[in-house]
Amino acid sequence: MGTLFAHLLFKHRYIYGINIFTNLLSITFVIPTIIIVLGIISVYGSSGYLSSIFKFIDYELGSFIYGIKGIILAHVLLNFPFVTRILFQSLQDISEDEWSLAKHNGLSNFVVFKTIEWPAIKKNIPTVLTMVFILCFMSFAPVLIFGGGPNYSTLEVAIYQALLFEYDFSKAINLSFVQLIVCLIFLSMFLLHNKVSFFVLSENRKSIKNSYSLNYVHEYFLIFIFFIFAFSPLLVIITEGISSPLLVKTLLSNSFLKSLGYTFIISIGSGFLSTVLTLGLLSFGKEFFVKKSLKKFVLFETYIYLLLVFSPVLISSGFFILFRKYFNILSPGLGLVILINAIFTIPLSYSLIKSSFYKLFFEQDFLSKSIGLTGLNRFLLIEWPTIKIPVITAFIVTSIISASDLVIISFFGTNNFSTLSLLIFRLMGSYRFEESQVVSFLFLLYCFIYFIISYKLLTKLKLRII
Amino acid sequence: MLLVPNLLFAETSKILTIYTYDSFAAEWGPGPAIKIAFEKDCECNVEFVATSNAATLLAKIQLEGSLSNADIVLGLDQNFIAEASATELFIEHQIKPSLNITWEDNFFTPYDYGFFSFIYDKTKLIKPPKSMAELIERDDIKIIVQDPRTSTPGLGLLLWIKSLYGSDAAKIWKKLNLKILTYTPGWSEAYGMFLKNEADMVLSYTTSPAYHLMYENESKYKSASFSEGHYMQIEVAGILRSSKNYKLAQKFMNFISSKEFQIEIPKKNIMYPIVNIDLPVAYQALTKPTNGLILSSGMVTKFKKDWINEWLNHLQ
Repeated sequence: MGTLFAHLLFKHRYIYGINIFTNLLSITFVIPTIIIVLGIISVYGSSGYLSSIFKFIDYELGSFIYGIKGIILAHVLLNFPFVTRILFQSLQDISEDEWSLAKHNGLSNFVVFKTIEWPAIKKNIPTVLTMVFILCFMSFAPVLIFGGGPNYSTLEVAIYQALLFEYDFSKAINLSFVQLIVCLIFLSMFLLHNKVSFFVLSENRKSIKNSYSLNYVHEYFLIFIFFIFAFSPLLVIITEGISSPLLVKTLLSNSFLKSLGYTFIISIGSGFLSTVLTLGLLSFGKEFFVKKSLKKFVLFETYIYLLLVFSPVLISSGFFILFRKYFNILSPGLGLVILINAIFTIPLSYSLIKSSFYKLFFEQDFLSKSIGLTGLNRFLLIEWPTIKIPVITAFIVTSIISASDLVIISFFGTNNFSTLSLLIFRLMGSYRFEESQVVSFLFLLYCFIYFIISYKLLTKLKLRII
Repeated sequence: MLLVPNLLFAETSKILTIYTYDSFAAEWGPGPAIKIAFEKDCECNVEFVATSNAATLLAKIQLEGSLSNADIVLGLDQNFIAEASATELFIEHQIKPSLNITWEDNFFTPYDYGFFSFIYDKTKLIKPPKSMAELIERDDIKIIVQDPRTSTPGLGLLLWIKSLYGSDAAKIWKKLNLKILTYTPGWSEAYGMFLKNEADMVLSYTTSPAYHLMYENESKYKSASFSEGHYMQIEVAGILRSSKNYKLAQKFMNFISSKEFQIEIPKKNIMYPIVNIDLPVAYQALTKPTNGLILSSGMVTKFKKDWINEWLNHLQ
């Protein structure tokens, strides 16, 4: 589904606002699951919008979202925007010459897709599948809520329970190992098939000149449907937030403003740190390319994706113990929250940047070497201009993910040190559902503004050799 | 203006650190008013450190061990006191408050209590069940409950069923399960879903309707009174062995049963106070269960795992 959507979006990317839209796709993925879950219920629940539409035609929809269907629906909704985003990125890396060649040869839509787009998409599929698999595997609240019963609980539930309810640390660690092994098997299955093949004609990437046309009406319609599907839970949050009488009061409340401040610091800090760490890892990874040792490269990638596999609850408590035992610090606070978030988001920024980065490396490595460009100069002259956009995207995505984290902050946060997502959860914990809806809306707004501003500022940023 | 004397004061006075759960310490919770009231004559500063929920409190204390800064832990409930005492991190409080509930424990003293109950919207559910037995037999009702593995009310229901049906509990769960739309990880998700009309009833507290009445002026939410009685939750506080302010902590433990402390409980923690005070008007509309059910903490600690497994095995 992500593939189809990415294809359509890419084809029609001349439509005004579509670029913003694709970038917004990353947001649906990163806002706290609890918000999405309640959003999904508002739309698809037994008293949701969908069932009231069906009531018009006298059809009782009932609660169809519980059980395995619900779990799958929720995870599709949670993950498919992100999949679309990554695949869209890989389509953008196809050079203009390939397109014009296709056009000259008069290839049909399907053939174009098969020969040009699919190869570009395919190379990212193992990565995407692995990430989605792991994310679903680690999923906690949506599985419990939509599962409708404990038969569907995941290992993550068991870890959470062992750690926070049974205080059984060794059990939690054992369970994590099981989790780790299952994910490793899956990872190796997919990443070993990850053939690294790049063929490129040129780096001419100006956009093709498609334009609005009536021939595409059905495709516009499909985009619209996808749009509604992807954003339905968010649209509900936005309408509920805006229409709430508590909007202004909440906006000016002390707890909101304070959380907003912390959220902002964590966003910037974690986003920056994560992107820098990822760039470091990437330049490390390209060494494996140089030596043409694919096995090592796969192993290297496995390490990175393994980060996704560790239960955040376990890691947070691990850090907690570490700091207590060795540094005698009980409230490590802001800095640590930023650090842990940055580490956790590395796999995401890695997968966002890597396709552009490695492709560029393949194309330009020989040239750069022959004219003796190395180190920082090379990075600034050759790499930065090309990977700038994915890097910025990665920065924004990791920022917002860190801002929406609930596990890490709930371990280290206090009532004086809270982020917006924690505030949403705290409000819900004290009957203040309406206020929490407002904060959810404001949080979305924050993500949006953060997104636009950093995108605008960073694309203007020019790095020069001093 | 207000900050200046406070800052000067802080340098010379002691700090009493209280670990609690978030909704207690939050600016809308009872914490801030209690802090002000206690600071009036303790020559100290009260500092609340909050975890995201009550369940993680004990985990935090155990992770911190004897290095903890906390003097008092406030927010565990009776089901955890055997476990908490076994950690040997707590010290006897040596106080004897007079309470309106029966209580006997050397390490912990209660600060409020409540009853688990199913909440419904009276405009939607015209004929609420009058007993657990009726709920189990009805087939026109959908309920949302919490997972006993991760949530206090969820565990509460498990113990409620156990205390009513004993060895038949597994059979009852099989029947009850047909009515359960879903099990959520925590109270918030369940209650949020109920407010979005996903189900007819949700597991919460008998006092929940008072919140809607007090803060939203909404009277349609009701608690279903069950003739067999309601399972109780008693929330407690205890002093840590590692505390360097034992005398001050003890003073706070006595303060818990004072009127100034207790007056905040029904208003802001939406629970019943442990001494007799005038309750807010909203509480007069509530039916307070006369027969509270409770299993001893020792028994709960001993059998909790078995009971949860029994519940799990019969649902699969």
